Amino acid sequence: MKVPDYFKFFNKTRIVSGSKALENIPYELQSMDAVKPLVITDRATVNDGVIKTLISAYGDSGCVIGGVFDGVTTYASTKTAIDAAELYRARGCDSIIAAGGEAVASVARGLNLLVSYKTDDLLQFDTLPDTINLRPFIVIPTSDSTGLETSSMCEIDGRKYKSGELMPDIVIIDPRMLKKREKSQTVITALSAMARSIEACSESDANPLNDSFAFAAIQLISENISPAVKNIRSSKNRLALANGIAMSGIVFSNAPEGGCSELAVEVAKATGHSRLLCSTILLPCMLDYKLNNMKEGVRGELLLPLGGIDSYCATPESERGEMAVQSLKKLYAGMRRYIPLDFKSLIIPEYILDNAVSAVEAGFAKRYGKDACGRILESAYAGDLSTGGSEK
Amino acid sequence: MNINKYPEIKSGGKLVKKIYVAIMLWIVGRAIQAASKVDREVKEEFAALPDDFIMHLHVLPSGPGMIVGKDKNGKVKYMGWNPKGKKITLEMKVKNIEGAILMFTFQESTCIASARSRLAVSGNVPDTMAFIRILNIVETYLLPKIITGLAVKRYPKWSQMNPFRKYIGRVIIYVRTFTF
Repeated sequence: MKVPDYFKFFNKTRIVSGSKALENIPYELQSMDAVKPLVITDRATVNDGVIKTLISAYGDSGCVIGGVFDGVTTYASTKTAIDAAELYRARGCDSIIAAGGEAVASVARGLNLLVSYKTDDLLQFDTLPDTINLRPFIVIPTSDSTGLETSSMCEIDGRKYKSGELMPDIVIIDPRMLKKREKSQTVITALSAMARSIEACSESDANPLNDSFAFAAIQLISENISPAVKNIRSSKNRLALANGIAMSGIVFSNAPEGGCSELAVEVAKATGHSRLLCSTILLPCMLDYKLNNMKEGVRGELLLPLGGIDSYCATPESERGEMAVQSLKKLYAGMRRYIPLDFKSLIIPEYILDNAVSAVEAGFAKRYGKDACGRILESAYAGDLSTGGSEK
Repeated sequence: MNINKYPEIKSGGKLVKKIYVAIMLWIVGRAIQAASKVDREVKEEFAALPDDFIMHLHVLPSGPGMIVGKDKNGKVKYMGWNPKGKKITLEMKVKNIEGAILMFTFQESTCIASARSRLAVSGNVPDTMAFIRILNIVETYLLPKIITGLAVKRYPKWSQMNPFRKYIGRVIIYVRTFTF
Protein backbone atom coordinates (compact mmCIF):
# COMPACT_ATOMS: atom_id res chain seq x y z
CA MET A 1 0.00 0.00 0.00
CA LYS A 2 1.30 3.41 -1.01
CA VAL A 3 1.50 6.00 1.77
CA PRO A 4 2.09 9.59 0.68
CA ASP A 5 4.79 11.61 2.45
CA TYR A 6 2.15 13.92 3.86
CA PHE A 7 -1.59 13.61 4.05
CA LYS A 8 -4.61 14.86 5.96
CA PHE A 9 -7.92 13.13 6.56
CA PHE A 10 -10.82 14.72 8.40
CA ASN A 11 -14.19 13.21 9.19
CA LYS A 12 -16.38 14.40 12.02
CA THR A 13 -19.46 12.55 10.81
CA ARG A 14 -20.88 9.60 12.72
CA ILE A 15 -23.07 7.31 10.61
CA VAL A 16 -26.00 5.61 12.35
CA SER A 17 -27.56 3.19 9.90
CA GLY A 18 -30.20 0.51 10.03
CA SER A 19 -33.62 -0.42 11.28
CA LYS A 20 -35.16 2.06 13.76
CA ALA A 21 -32.15 4.37 13.41
CA LEU A 22 -34.46 7.41 13.42
CA GLU A 23 -35.52 6.68 16.99
CA ASN A 24 -31.95 7.43 18.11
CA ILE A 25 -32.21 11.10 17.13
CA PRO A 26 -33.47 12.44 20.51
CA TYR A 27 -30.72 10.51 22.34
CA GLU A 28 -28.02 11.67 19.92
CA LEU A 29 -29.21 15.28 20.14
CA GLN A 30 -29.25 15.17 23.92
CA SER A 31 -25.68 13.85 23.89
CA MET A 32 -24.81 17.13 22.09
CA ASP A 33 -26.81 19.21 24.63
CA ALA A 34 -29.63 19.90 22.17
CA VAL A 35 -33.33 19.25 22.62
CA LYS A 36 -35.21 21.36 20.10
CA PRO A 37 -34.28 20.84 16.45
CA LEU A 38 -35.58 22.61 13.37
CA VAL A 39 -36.30 20.19 10.53
CA ILE A 40 -35.33 21.44 7.05
CA THR A 41 -36.84 19.64 4.11
CA ASP A 42 -38.62 20.10 0.78
CA ARG A 43 -42.17 19.52 -0.44
CA ALA A 44 -41.29 16.27 -2.27
CA THR A 45 -39.99 14.70 0.94
CA VAL A 46 -43.08 15.85 2.86
CA ASN A 47 -45.34 14.43 0.14
CA ASP A 48 -43.50 11.09 0.39
CA GLY A 49 -44.73 10.85 3.96
CA VAL A 50 -41.26 10.33 5.40
CA ILE A 51 -41.49 13.46 7.58
CA LYS A 52 -44.48 11.83 9.33
CA THR A 53 -42.22 8.83 10.01
CA LEU A 54 -39.58 11.18 11.44
CA ILE A 55 -42.13 12.89 13.70
CA SER A 56 -43.56 9.59 14.92
CA ALA A 57 -40.00 8.40 15.67
CA TYR A 58 -39.84 11.37 18.03
CA GLY A 59 -42.80 10.00 19.98
CA ASP A 60 -42.16 9.43 23.69
CA SER A 61 -38.90 11.41 23.60
CA GLY A 62 -40.47 14.33 25.45
CA CYS A 63 -38.73 16.67 23.01
CA VAL A 64 -40.30 19.34 20.83
CA ILE A 65 -39.57 19.86 17.13
CA GLY A 66 -39.25 23.61 16.54
CA GLY A 67 -40.94 23.30 13.17
CA VAL A 68 -40.76 21.56 9.83
CA PHE A 69 -39.50 24.11 7.29
CA ASP A 70 -40.41 22.69 3.88
CA GLY A 71 -39.69 25.80 1.82
CA VAL A 72 -36.56 24.43 0.13
CA THR A 73 -36.72 23.97 -3.64
CA THR A 74 -34.27 22.19 -5.92
CA TYR A 75 -32.17 25.37 -5.91
CA ALA A 76 -30.52 26.39 -2.63
CA SER A 77 -30.86 30.14 -2.22
CA THR A 78 -29.69 32.63 0.40
CA LYS A 79 -33.27 33.83 0.84
CA THR A 80 -34.40 30.33 1.86
CA ALA A 81 -31.55 30.06 4.37
CA ILE A 82 -32.45 33.47 5.85
CA ASP A 83 -36.15 32.48 6.11
CA ALA A 84 -35.18 29.25 7.86
CA ALA A 85 -32.90 31.22 10.21
CA GLU A 86 -35.82 33.52 11.10
CA LEU A 87 -37.93 30.51 12.01
CA TYR A 88 -35.04 28.95 13.94
CA ARG A 89 -34.59 32.07 16.07
CA ALA A 90 -38.31 32.66 16.59
CA ARG A 91 -38.79 29.14 17.92
CA GLY A 92 -35.65 29.09 20.06
CA CYS A 93 -34.24 26.00 18.36
CA ASP A 94 -30.80 24.66 19.23
CA SER A 95 -30.04 22.16 16.47
CA ILE A 96 -30.77 21.37 12.82
CA ILE A 97 -32.03 18.24 11.09
CA ALA A 98 -31.86 18.18 7.28
CA ALA A 99 -34.04 15.52 5.65
CA GLY A 100 -33.66 15.41 1.89
CA GLY A 101 -31.21 15.90 -0.93
CA GLU A 102 -28.32 18.19 -1.77
CA ALA A 103 -30.29 21.47 -1.83
CA VAL A 104 -31.87 20.75 1.56
CA ALA A 105 -28.48 20.00 3.11
CA SER A 106 -26.98 23.14 1.54
CA VAL A 107 -29.74 25.37 2.95
CA ALA A 108 -29.34 23.67 6.34
CA ARG A 109 -25.59 24.42 6.28
CA GLY A 110 -26.24 28.03 5.31
CA LEU A 111 -28.77 28.27 8.13
CA ASN A 112 -26.24 26.78 10.55
CA LEU A 113 -23.67 29.45 9.62
CA LEU A 114 -26.25 32.23 9.98
CA VAL A 115 -27.57 31.17 13.37
CA SER A 116 -24.20 30.19 14.80
CA TYR A 117 -22.71 33.59 13.95
CA LYS A 118 -25.94 35.52 14.60
CA THR A 119 -25.97 37.23 11.22
CA ASP A 120 -28.07 37.39 8.06
CA ASP A 121 -25.14 37.85 5.70
CA LEU A 122 -23.85 34.67 4.13
CA LEU A 123 -21.27 36.50 2.03
CA GLN A 124 -19.06 37.03 5.08
CA PHE A 125 -18.37 33.28 5.07
CA ASP A 126 -16.60 33.31 1.70
CA THR A 127 -13.45 32.00 3.34
CA LEU A 128 -14.11 29.68 6.24
CA PRO A 129 -11.48 28.60 8.74
CA ASP A 130 -11.04 24.89 9.50
CA THR A 131 -12.36 25.25 13.03
CA ILE A 132 -15.68 27.01 13.47
CA ASN A 133 -18.30 26.56 16.13
CA LEU A 134 -21.57 25.41 14.64
CA ARG A 135 -24.87 24.11 16.04
CA PRO A 136 -25.48 20.33 16.17
CA PHE A 137 -26.38 19.23 12.66
CA ILE A 138 -27.96 15.94 11.63
CA VAL A 139 -28.54 14.80 8.05
CA ILE A 140 -31.13 12.18 7.13
CA PRO A 141 -30.55 11.03 3.55
CA THR A 142 -33.65 10.26 1.50
CA SER A 143 -33.99 8.79 -1.98
CA ASP A 144 -33.11 12.23 -3.39
CA SER A 145 -29.68 12.23 -1.76
CA THR A 146 -26.65 12.52 -3.99
CA GLY A 147 -23.94 11.97 -1.38
CA LEU A 148 -22.87 15.60 -1.18
CA GLU A 149 -25.08 15.98 1.93
CA THR A 150 -22.30 14.36 3.96
CA SER A 151 -19.53 16.41 2.37
CA SER A 152 -17.79 19.49 3.71
CA MET A 153 -19.08 21.68 0.93
CA CYS A 154 -22.31 23.45 0.13
CA GLU A 155 -23.43 25.61 -2.74
CA ILE A 156 -25.86 28.45 -2.07
CA ASP A 157 -26.82 30.85 -4.87
CA GLY A 158 -23.93 29.51 -6.93
CA ARG A 159 -21.34 30.33 -4.24
CA LYS A 160 -19.39 27.49 -2.71
CA TYR A 161 -18.70 27.31 1.02
CA LYS A 162 -16.19 24.75 2.21
CA SER A 163 -15.00 23.75 5.66
CA GLY A 164 -14.58 20.45 7.48
CA GLU A 165 -16.91 21.77 10.17
CA LEU A 166 -19.76 21.98 7.64
CA MET A 167 -19.89 18.18 7.60
CA PRO A 168 -22.88 16.89 9.56
CA ASP A 169 -22.28 15.67 13.10
CA ILE A 170 -24.44 12.62 12.52
CA VAL A 171 -25.94 10.95 9.45
CA ILE A 172 -28.98 8.82 10.17
CA ILE A 173 -29.71 6.27 7.43
CA ASP A 174 -33.03 4.56 8.00
CA PRO A 175 -34.70 2.32 5.39
CA ARG A 176 -38.06 3.97 6.14
CA MET A 177 -36.72 7.26 4.76
CA LEU A 178 -35.67 5.69 1.46
CA LYS A 179 -38.87 5.69 -0.53
CA LYS A 180 -38.85 4.33 -4.05
CA ARG A 181 -37.93 6.69 -6.84
CA GLU A 182 -37.63 6.43 -10.60
CA LYS A 183 -35.02 3.85 -11.48
CA SER A 184 -33.09 6.34 -13.60
CA GLN A 185 -32.70 8.69 -10.65
CA THR A 186 -31.43 5.90 -8.40
CA VAL A 187 -28.90 4.84 -11.05
CA ILE A 188 -27.64 8.38 -11.68
CA THR A 189 -27.13 9.21 -8.00
CA ALA A 190 -25.45 5.87 -7.31
CA LEU A 191 -23.13 5.97 -10.33
CA SER A 192 -22.18 9.60 -9.75
CA ALA A 193 -21.32 8.73 -6.13
CA MET A 194 -19.22 5.89 -7.48
CA ALA A 195 -17.54 8.28 -9.93
CA ARG A 196 -16.68 10.57 -7.02
CA SER A 197 -15.15 7.71 -5.04
CA ILE A 198 -13.21 6.22 -7.95
CA GLU A 199 -11.83 9.64 -8.84
CA ALA A 200 -10.74 10.28 -5.26
CA CYS A 201 -8.64 7.13 -5.11
CA SER A 202 -7.36 7.50 -8.67
CA GLU A 203 -5.53 10.72 -7.90
CA SER A 204 -1.79 10.44 -7.33
CA ASP A 205 -1.99 11.90 -3.80
CA ALA A 206 -4.68 9.48 -2.56
CA ASN A 207 -4.21 8.53 1.08
CA PRO A 208 -4.91 5.16 2.75
CA LEU A 209 -7.65 6.47 5.06
CA ASN A 210 -9.62 8.06 2.27
CA ASP A 211 -9.00 4.95 0.16
CA SER A 212 -10.65 2.75 2.79
CA PHE A 213 -13.79 4.90 2.68
CA ALA A 214 -13.68 5.10 -1.13
CA PHE A 215 -13.26 1.34 -1.60
CA ALA A 216 -16.12 0.65 0.82
CA ALA A 217 -18.35 3.11 -1.05
CA ILE A 218 -17.45 1.60 -4.45
CA GLN A 219 -18.08 -1.93 -3.22
CA LEU A 220 -21.41 -1.04 -1.59
CA ILE A 221 -22.60 0.66 -4.77
CA SER A 222 -21.32 -1.92 -7.28
CA GLU A 223 -22.76 -4.84 -5.30
CA ASN A 224 -26.14 -3.28 -4.62
CA ILE A 225 -27.03 -1.08 -7.56
CA SER A 226 -28.43 -3.87 -9.77
CA PRO A 227 -30.57 -5.57 -7.06
CA ALA A 228 -31.76 -2.19 -5.77
CA VAL A 229 -32.90 -1.14 -9.24
CA LYS A 230 -34.40 -4.51 -10.21
CA ASN A 231 -36.27 -5.03 -6.97
CA ILE A 232 -37.60 -1.72 -5.73
CA ARG A 233 -38.92 -3.34 -2.56
CA SER A 234 -35.50 -4.51 -1.48
CA SER A 235 -34.90 -2.18 1.45
CA LYS A 236 -31.70 -4.05 2.35
CA ASN A 237 -30.07 -3.16 -0.98
CA ARG A 238 -31.38 0.40 -0.91
CA LEU A 239 -29.96 0.82 2.60
CA ALA A 240 -26.56 -0.47 1.46
CA LEU A 241 -26.69 1.84 -1.54
CA ALA A 242 -27.55 4.81 0.68
CA ASN A 243 -24.56 3.96 2.88
CA GLY A 244 -22.26 3.89 -0.13
CA ILE A 245 -23.64 7.19 -1.40
CA ALA A 246 -23.23 8.81 2.05
CA MET A 247 -19.63 7.58 2.28
CA SER A 248 -18.83 9.06 -1.12
CA GLY A 249 -19.50 12.52 0.34
CA ILE A 250 -16.87 11.96 3.04
CA VAL A 251 -14.44 10.72 0.37
CA PHE A 252 -15.15 13.77 -1.76
CA SER A 253 -14.39 16.09 1.18
CA ASN A 254 -10.93 14.60 1.61
CA ALA A 255 -9.78 14.58 -1.99
CA PRO A 256 -8.98 17.32 -4.48
CA GLU A 257 -11.51 17.81 -7.24
CA GLY A 258 -10.77 15.28 -9.97
CA GLY A 259 -10.77 15.88 -13.69
CA CYS A 260 -14.05 14.05 -14.22
CA SER A 261 -15.99 16.31 -11.79
CA GLU A 262 -14.31 19.40 -13.18
CA LEU A 263 -15.25 18.50 -16.73
CA ALA A 264 -18.75 17.41 -15.67
CA VAL A 265 -19.40 20.84 -14.11
CA GLU A 266 -18.41 22.58 -17.36
CA VAL A 267 -20.44 20.23 -19.54
CA ALA A 268 -23.44 20.65 -17.22
CA LYS A 269 -23.08 24.43 -17.45
CA ALA A 270 -22.86 24.35 -21.23
CA THR A 271 -25.68 21.87 -21.81
CA GLY A 272 -28.04 22.40 -18.89
CA HIS A 273 -28.02 18.70 -18.05
CA SER A 274 -27.47 17.48 -14.50
CA ARG A 275 -23.90 17.52 -13.21
CA LEU A 276 -24.43 14.04 -11.79
CA LEU A 277 -25.46 12.60 -15.16
CA CYS A 278 -22.48 14.25 -16.88
CA SER A 279 -19.98 12.85 -14.38
CA THR A 280 -21.62 9.43 -14.70
CA ILE A 281 -21.16 9.49 -18.48
CA LEU A 282 -17.61 10.82 -18.29
CA LEU A 283 -16.19 8.38 -15.71
CA PRO A 284 -15.53 5.28 -17.87
CA CYS A 285 -14.12 7.46 -20.69
CA MET A 286 -11.82 9.19 -18.25
CA LEU A 287 -10.56 5.87 -16.85
CA ASP A 288 -10.16 4.48 -20.35
CA TYR A 289 -8.10 7.50 -21.31
CA LYS A 290 -5.89 7.12 -18.24
CA LEU A 291 -5.44 3.42 -18.87
CA ASN A 292 -4.38 3.87 -22.49
CA ASN A 293 -2.53 7.15 -22.43
CA MET A 294 -1.03 7.75 -19.05
CA LYS A 295 2.02 6.16 -17.51
CA GLU A 296 0.47 5.52 -14.09
CA GLY A 297 -2.67 4.04 -15.68
CA VAL A 298 -5.51 2.99 -13.37
CA ARG A 299 -4.92 1.63 -9.86
CA GLY A 300 -5.09 -2.14 -9.78
CA GLU A 301 -6.62 -2.11 -6.29
CA LEU A 302 -9.84 -0.78 -7.80
CA LEU A 303 -10.55 -4.26 -9.10
CA LEU A 304 -11.21 -5.53 -5.57
CA PRO A 305 -14.31 -3.42 -4.88
CA LEU A 306 -15.44 -3.41 -8.52
CA GLY A 307 -14.86 -7.03 -9.54
CA GLY A 308 -14.86 -8.86 -6.22
CA ILE A 309 -12.27 -10.97 -4.44
CA ASP A 310 -12.36 -13.89 -6.93
CA SER A 311 -11.69 -11.69 -9.93
CA TYR A 312 -8.99 -9.80 -7.99
CA CYS A 313 -7.12 -12.95 -7.02
CA ALA A 314 -7.42 -14.52 -10.48
CA THR A 315 -5.95 -11.47 -12.25
CA PRO A 316 -2.18 -10.85 -12.46
CA GLU A 317 -1.11 -7.63 -10.76
CA SER A 318 -0.13 -5.91 -13.99
CA GLU A 319 -3.58 -6.49 -15.52
CA ARG A 320 -5.73 -5.48 -12.56
CA GLY A 321 -6.11 -1.85 -13.65
CA GLU A 322 -7.41 -2.88 -17.06
CA MET A 323 -9.67 -5.49 -15.53
CA ALA A 324 -11.09 -2.89 -13.10
CA VAL A 325 -12.07 -0.70 -16.04
CA GLN A 326 -13.64 -3.70 -17.77
CA SER A 327 -15.65 -4.50 -14.62
CA LEU A 328 -16.88 -0.92 -14.47
CA LYS A 329 -17.90 -1.04 -18.13
CA LYS A 330 -19.77 -4.28 -17.51
CA LEU A 331 -21.65 -2.61 -14.65
CA TYR A 332 -22.44 0.35 -16.90
CA ALA A 333 -23.66 -1.91 -19.69
CA GLY A 334 -26.28 -3.31 -17.29
CA MET A 335 -27.49 0.22 -16.53
CA ARG A 336 -27.84 1.28 -20.17
CA ARG A 337 -31.57 0.57 -20.16
CA TYR A 338 -32.18 3.06 -17.35
CA ILE A 339 -30.00 6.05 -18.29
CA PRO A 340 -28.27 7.39 -21.41
CA LEU A 341 -24.56 6.64 -21.29
CA ASP A 342 -23.36 9.01 -24.00
CA PHE A 343 -23.81 12.67 -24.87
CA LYS A 344 -25.04 11.84 -28.35
CA SER A 345 -28.26 10.31 -27.05
CA LEU A 346 -28.82 13.44 -24.94
CA ILE A 347 -29.00 15.27 -28.29
CA ILE A 348 -26.18 17.67 -27.49
CA PRO A 349 -24.56 19.31 -30.54
CA GLU A 350 -20.82 18.76 -30.62
CA TYR A 351 -20.01 22.49 -30.77
CA ILE A 352 -21.52 22.95 -27.28
CA LEU A 353 -19.09 20.38 -25.92
CA ASP A 354 -16.27 22.37 -27.55
CA ASN A 355 -17.22 25.31 -25.32
CA ALA A 356 -16.84 23.09 -22.26
CA VAL A 357 -13.46 21.91 -23.56
CA SER A 358 -12.13 25.45 -23.82
CA ALA A 359 -13.02 26.17 -20.17
CA VAL A 360 -10.93 23.36 -18.69
CA GLU A 361 -8.46 22.55 -21.45
CA ALA A 362 -5.45 24.29 -19.94
CA GLY A 363 -5.77 22.55 -16.55
CA PHE A 364 -6.38 19.20 -18.21
CA ALA A 365 -3.35 19.49 -20.48
CA LYS A 366 -1.15 19.99 -17.43
CA ARG A 367 -2.56 16.99 -15.54
CA TYR A 368 -3.47 14.51 -18.24
CA GLY A 369 -1.55 15.55 -21.35
CA LYS A 370 -2.26 17.49 -24.53
CA ASP A 371 -5.73 17.07 -26.10
CA ALA A 372 -6.86 14.93 -23.14
CA CYS A 373 -10.02 16.90 -22.58
CA GLY A 374 -11.11 16.79 -26.22
CA ARG A 375 -10.46 13.07 -26.56
CA ILE A 376 -12.34 12.19 -23.37
CA LEU A 377 -15.33 14.24 -24.48
CA GLU A 378 -15.16 12.72 -27.97
CA SER A 379 -15.43 9.21 -26.59
CA ALA A 380 -18.14 10.30 -24.13
CA TYR A 381 -20.06 11.74 -27.09
CA ALA A 382 -19.82 8.51 -29.08
CA GLY A 383 -20.50 6.44 -25.99
CA ASP A 384 -18.66 3.39 -27.22
CA LEU A 385 -17.50 1.99 -23.91
CA SER A 386 -15.33 -0.62 -25.56
CA THR A 387 -13.12 1.87 -27.39
CA GLY A 388 -13.75 5.15 -25.57
CA GLY A 389 -10.61 7.21 -25.01
CA SER A 390 -8.24 4.71 -26.56
CA GLU A 391 -5.20 6.00 -28.40
CA LYS A 392 -5.74 7.00 -32.00
CA MET B 1 -42.12 35.12 6.17
CA ASN B 2 -45.14 33.82 8.06
CA ILE B 3 -43.64 31.59 10.73
CA ASN B 4 -47.08 30.37 11.82
CA LYS B 5 -47.06 28.29 8.63
CA TYR B 6 -44.53 26.04 10.37
CA PRO B 7 -45.97 25.15 13.78
CA GLU B 8 -44.10 23.53 16.67
CA ILE B 9 -44.58 19.80 16.95
CA LYS B 10 -44.78 18.15 20.33
CA SER B 11 -43.75 14.52 20.53
CA GLY B 12 -46.58 12.11 21.12
CA GLY B 13 -46.61 9.18 23.52
CA LYS B 14 -46.36 5.45 22.95
CA LEU B 15 -48.46 4.35 25.90
CA VAL B 16 -49.25 0.78 24.82
CA LYS B 17 -45.60 0.01 24.14
CA LYS B 18 -44.59 1.54 27.47
CA ILE B 19 -47.15 -0.55 29.35
CA TYR B 20 -45.92 -3.73 27.60
CA VAL B 21 -42.28 -3.01 28.45
CA ALA B 22 -43.22 -2.07 32.04
CA ILE B 23 -44.99 -5.44 32.51
CA MET B 24 -42.05 -7.33 31.02
CA LEU B 25 -39.56 -5.49 33.25
CA TRP B 26 -41.69 -6.20 36.32
CA ILE B 27 -41.81 -9.92 35.48
CA VAL B 28 -38.07 -10.10 34.71
CA GLY B 29 -37.19 -8.15 37.88
CA ARG B 30 -39.29 -10.41 40.08
CA ALA B 31 -37.96 -13.49 38.26
CA ILE B 32 -34.34 -12.43 38.89
CA GLN B 33 -35.12 -12.18 42.60
CA ALA B 34 -36.72 -15.63 42.51
CA ALA B 35 -33.91 -17.16 40.41
CA SER B 36 -31.28 -15.89 42.86
CA LYS B 37 -32.82 -18.24 45.43
CA VAL B 38 -33.44 -21.19 43.09
CA ASP B 39 -30.55 -21.38 40.63
CA ARG B 40 -26.99 -22.12 41.71
CA GLU B 41 -25.41 -20.28 38.79
CA VAL B 42 -27.42 -17.10 39.40
CA LYS B 43 -26.50 -17.30 43.10
CA GLU B 44 -22.80 -17.54 42.22
CA GLU B 45 -23.00 -14.64 39.76
CA PHE B 46 -24.63 -12.41 42.39
CA ALA B 47 -22.13 -13.56 45.05
CA ALA B 48 -19.30 -12.30 42.85
CA LEU B 49 -20.90 -8.86 42.50
CA PRO B 50 -20.11 -6.08 45.02
CA ASP B 51 -22.20 -5.92 48.23
CA ASP B 52 -23.68 -2.55 47.30
CA PHE B 53 -24.67 -3.71 43.80
CA ILE B 54 -27.84 -2.03 42.57
CA MET B 55 -28.73 -2.18 38.90
CA HIS B 56 -31.17 0.14 37.16
CA LEU B 57 -32.36 -0.99 33.72
CA HIS B 58 -34.60 1.63 32.15
CA VAL B 59 -35.83 3.10 28.90
CA LEU B 60 -34.89 6.66 27.99
CA PRO B 61 -36.08 9.32 28.45
CA SER B 62 -38.79 8.64 31.01
CA GLY B 63 -38.99 4.94 31.68
CA PRO B 64 -40.31 2.36 32.34
CA GLY B 65 -37.54 0.71 34.31
CA MET B 66 -36.63 -1.86 36.92
CA ILE B 67 -34.18 -1.89 39.81
CA VAL B 68 -32.58 -5.07 41.07
CA GLY B 69 -29.85 -5.18 43.67
CA LYS B 70 -28.55 -6.51 46.94
CA ASP B 71 -30.10 -5.32 50.20
CA LYS B 72 -28.26 -4.78 53.53
CA ASN B 73 -28.33 -8.53 54.22
CA GLY B 74 -26.87 -9.36 50.83
CA LYS B 75 -30.15 -10.76 49.52
CA VAL B 76 -31.11 -10.06 45.92
CA LYS B 77 -34.27 -7.96 45.71
CA TYR B 78 -36.44 -6.47 43.03
CA MET B 79 -36.63 -2.84 44.19
CA GLY B 80 -39.35 -1.46 41.94
CA TRP B 81 -38.87 1.16 39.24
CA ASN B 82 -38.13 4.40 41.07
CA PRO B 83 -34.40 5.12 41.51
CA LYS B 84 -35.03 7.95 44.00
CA GLY B 85 -32.99 7.47 47.17
CA LYS B 86 -31.12 4.44 45.82
CA LYS B 87 -27.41 4.39 45.15
CA ILE B 88 -27.26 2.96 41.65
CA THR B 89 -23.96 1.23 40.85
CA LEU B 90 -24.85 0.01 37.38
CA GLU B 91 -27.15 1.88 35.05
CA MET B 92 -28.29 0.26 31.81
CA LYS B 93 -30.22 2.59 29.55
CA VAL B 94 -32.17 1.51 26.50
CA LYS B 95 -31.94 4.55 24.22
CA ASN B 96 -35.59 4.56 23.16
CA ILE B 97 -38.85 2.67 23.56
CA GLU B 98 -38.59 1.13 20.07
CA GLY B 99 -35.25 -0.44 21.01
CA ALA B 100 -36.85 -1.80 24.19
CA ILE B 101 -39.74 -3.24 22.18
CA LEU B 102 -37.29 -5.02 19.85
CA MET B 103 -35.55 -6.51 22.88
CA PHE B 104 -38.61 -7.45 24.88
CA THR B 105 -40.51 -8.91 21.94
CA PHE B 106 -37.39 -11.00 21.33
CA GLN B 107 -36.82 -9.69 17.82
CA GLU B 108 -33.32 -8.80 18.97
CA SER B 109 -31.24 -10.54 21.61
CA THR B 110 -29.50 -8.50 24.32
CA CYS B 111 -26.17 -9.08 22.57
CA ILE B 112 -27.46 -7.93 19.19
CA ALA B 113 -29.13 -4.91 20.79
CA SER B 114 -25.81 -3.98 22.42
CA ALA B 115 -23.96 -4.47 19.13
CA ARG B 116 -26.49 -2.22 17.41
CA SER B 117 -25.88 0.42 20.04
CA ARG B 118 -29.39 0.36 21.46
CA LEU B 119 -28.05 0.23 25.01
CA ALA B 120 -25.88 2.65 26.95
CA VAL B 121 -24.22 1.58 30.19
CA SER B 122 -22.81 3.57 33.09
CA GLY B 123 -20.86 1.37 35.48
CA ASN B 124 -18.35 -1.45 35.52
CA VAL B 125 -18.16 -3.57 32.38
CA PRO B 126 -17.57 -6.88 34.29
CA ASP B 127 -20.70 -6.17 36.39
CA THR B 128 -22.64 -5.52 33.20
CA MET B 129 -21.47 -8.79 31.68
CA ALA B 130 -22.42 -10.65 34.86
CA PHE B 131 -25.87 -9.10 34.77
CA ILE B 132 -26.33 -10.03 31.10
CA ARG B 133 -25.42 -13.65 31.97
CA ILE B 134 -28.00 -13.59 34.79
CA LEU B 135 -30.58 -12.16 32.43
CA ASN B 136 -29.87 -14.95 29.92
CA ILE B 137 -30.32 -17.65 32.58
CA VAL B 138 -33.57 -16.09 33.79
CA GLU B 139 -34.90 -15.86 30.23
CA THR B 140 -34.05 -19.53 29.72
CA TYR B 141 -36.18 -20.37 32.76
CA LEU B 142 -39.08 -18.09 31.86
CA LEU B 143 -39.48 -18.73 28.16
CA PRO B 144 -39.93 -21.77 25.92
CA LYS B 145 -36.83 -22.85 23.99
CA ILE B 146 -38.04 -21.52 20.63
CA ILE B 147 -38.36 -17.99 22.02
CA THR B 148 -35.31 -18.13 24.28
CA GLY B 149 -33.24 -19.03 21.20
CA LEU B 150 -34.07 -15.56 19.85
CA ALA B 151 -33.40 -13.75 23.12
CA VAL B 152 -30.04 -15.22 24.14
CA LYS B 153 -26.78 -15.59 22.28
CA ARG B 154 -26.45 -19.33 22.90
CA TYR B 155 -29.10 -21.64 24.32
CA PRO B 156 -27.54 -23.71 27.16
CA LYS B 157 -26.57 -27.27 26.28
CA TRP B 158 -27.91 -30.37 28.07
CA SER B 159 -24.71 -30.50 30.16
CA GLN B 160 -25.13 -26.85 31.19
CA MET B 161 -28.79 -27.05 32.11
CA ASN B 162 -30.49 -30.41 32.12
CA PRO B 163 -34.28 -30.64 31.62
CA PHE B 164 -34.85 -31.69 35.25
CA ARG B 165 -33.15 -28.56 36.57
CA LYS B 166 -34.84 -26.42 33.92
CA TYR B 167 -38.44 -27.57 34.43
CA ILE B 168 -38.31 -27.76 38.22
CA GLY B 169 -36.58 -24.35 38.33
CA ARG B 170 -39.14 -22.90 35.91
CA VAL B 171 -42.09 -23.94 38.07
CA ILE B 172 -40.51 -22.58 41.28
CA ILE B 173 -39.44 -19.30 39.64
CA TYR B 174 -42.89 -18.75 38.17
CA VAL B 175 -44.58 -19.48 41.49
CA ARG B 176 -42.20 -17.17 43.40
CA THR B 177 -42.44 -14.42 40.75
CA PHE B 178 -46.19 -14.17 40.94
CA THR B 179 -46.78 -14.96 44.61
CA PHE B 180 -44.27 -13.58 47.13
